[in-house]
Amino acid sequence: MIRVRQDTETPLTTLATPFGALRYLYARSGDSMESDTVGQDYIAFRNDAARVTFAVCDGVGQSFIGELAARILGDGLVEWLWEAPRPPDAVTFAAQVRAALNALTDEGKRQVGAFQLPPHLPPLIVQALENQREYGSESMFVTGRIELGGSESWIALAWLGDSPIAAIDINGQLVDLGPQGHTSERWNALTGVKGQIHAWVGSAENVARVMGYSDGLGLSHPPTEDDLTRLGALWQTTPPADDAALFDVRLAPQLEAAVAKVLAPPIRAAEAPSVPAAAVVEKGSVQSEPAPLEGWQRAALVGLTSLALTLFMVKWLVEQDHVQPDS
Amino acid sequence: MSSYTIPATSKTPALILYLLDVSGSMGEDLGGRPKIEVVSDALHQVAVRMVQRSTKGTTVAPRYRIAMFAYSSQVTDLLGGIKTVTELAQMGVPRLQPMDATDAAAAFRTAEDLLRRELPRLQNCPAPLICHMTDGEYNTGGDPEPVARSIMQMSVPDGNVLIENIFVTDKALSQPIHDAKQWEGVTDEIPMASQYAETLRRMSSPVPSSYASVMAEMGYRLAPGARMLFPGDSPEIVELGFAMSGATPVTMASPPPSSSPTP
Repeated sequence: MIRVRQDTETPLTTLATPFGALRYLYARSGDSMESDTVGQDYIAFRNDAARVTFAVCDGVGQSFIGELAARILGDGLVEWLWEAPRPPDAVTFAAQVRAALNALTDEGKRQVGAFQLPPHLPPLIVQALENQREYGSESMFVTGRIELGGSESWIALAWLGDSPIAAIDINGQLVDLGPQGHTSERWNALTGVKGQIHAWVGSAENVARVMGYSDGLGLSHPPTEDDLTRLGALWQTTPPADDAALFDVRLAPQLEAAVAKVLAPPIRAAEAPSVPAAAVVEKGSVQSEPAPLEGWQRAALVGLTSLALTLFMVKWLVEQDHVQPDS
Repeated sequence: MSSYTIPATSKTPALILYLLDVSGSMGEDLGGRPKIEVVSDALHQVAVRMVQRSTKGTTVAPRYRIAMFAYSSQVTDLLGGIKTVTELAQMGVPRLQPMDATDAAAAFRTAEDLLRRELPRLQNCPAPLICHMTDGEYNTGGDPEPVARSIMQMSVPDGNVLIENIFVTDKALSQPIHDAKQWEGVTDEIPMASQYAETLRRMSSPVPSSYASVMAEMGYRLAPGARMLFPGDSPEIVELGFAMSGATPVTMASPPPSSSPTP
């Protein structure tokens, strides 16, 4: 599992995969940067050649150490989703997510109870934090699994709270995932799910992009390349008012680019030509990235990629036939 | 247009001024304890709540700026100027001591002077709020109403300056309040049981709907149109009044009533 660090900025980072690209960024708020404290958003994900699970969590600031709930939730969701069977429908998936999250409260109670407050805090702050500890640590989230192996590719998404999640189809249209969540919905580390889990389950066939992000991006629409470029430049001089996190899965690679990316090591923003220069703020922001591939692994990967690309091309041709009008 | 919806943030902090009557009568009992102790405790509680509403992790963001004036025959600045909630969290809330007379007008004039200095730099901030707590009518310095009404005309784009009054007495309402959580507040239709209670009602701003939402999150049920006047002789009403003073919204969104903090 890759866990994006909460104590520093991670510029827009791209990881090439056989099925496309995974992109993520993380920026702490100006307040957090000034006080040199960790951000309360959290990104965790796991992937292989045909599967990715991810979670973007938004810790609740006025709950007890919101970043704590965000971490417990993010790690728990990614691990659970990785192993979960394909859900038959959204309703079932929402119920499964709820059960998984409520089961996470054992770990939540343990971590909230064991959390050591820094020494020498003023009594007023200690009292406020202990009140919050009694209330619990809270986070919102968006999470998903994208499964591209096997006979059928599928996507399962779930969200709780007002962090946006979006999917875009191969025609560039937004996929209707249903209503956005509400700010009153969240997961509490002591008591579990508050509010309604929202979920969507469907085929990955016509989906080109899936993204989840926190409201710290300050966008009323799914981020475009222009948005990411603009925000990267802006945040270099003016950090965001709130912590900001994005996880973005691109499933429709251009064939030549996909081959090039698969053969190349993971690309970080500092090295990627498409990344805005402004976003490149390297402050020891290297995540726990996958280790470099061994020779046999690379050969296997190339073989698998070739197979995948062949299948992709066959599928594309079939689709072309399918969509062309009779004449 | 007045909306009272600008949230209290580090960049746009809310200014809260406390005017606290520490006349000799504040040494009398309220629910088995001296009134001044009840008020000190309520003040401490609202400070804790403000800190809770300002925390991120273990740090406290300066979402509120606070000034506290105790008044009797003279006005005393308890904090040595305006302090951020971050600074107040370090300092702690001062304990109050009962003194002598009640010069409410002097206290309001002090607030007015401070607001005149501060208002130009509060144009992007929530409308300031004055929380006045007293247990009886002024006995020196004259009627505070004219200066209070003058303050209520002062404004920033978010709205006019708000004044709330906590009147620690059993002589303001003909019917005592049995349950502070269920109480709907003082509207203009409710008859008041004393002349000074009428005066304080005129000196009290209507509760903005954004404040009512925050109070609803805390379990209170103030009716639309209620005034920011909290008359009563129970510690619960004092607590309610001070809770209102810390109810400036901290997020732009207006969530439905719930007991949830906001992210």
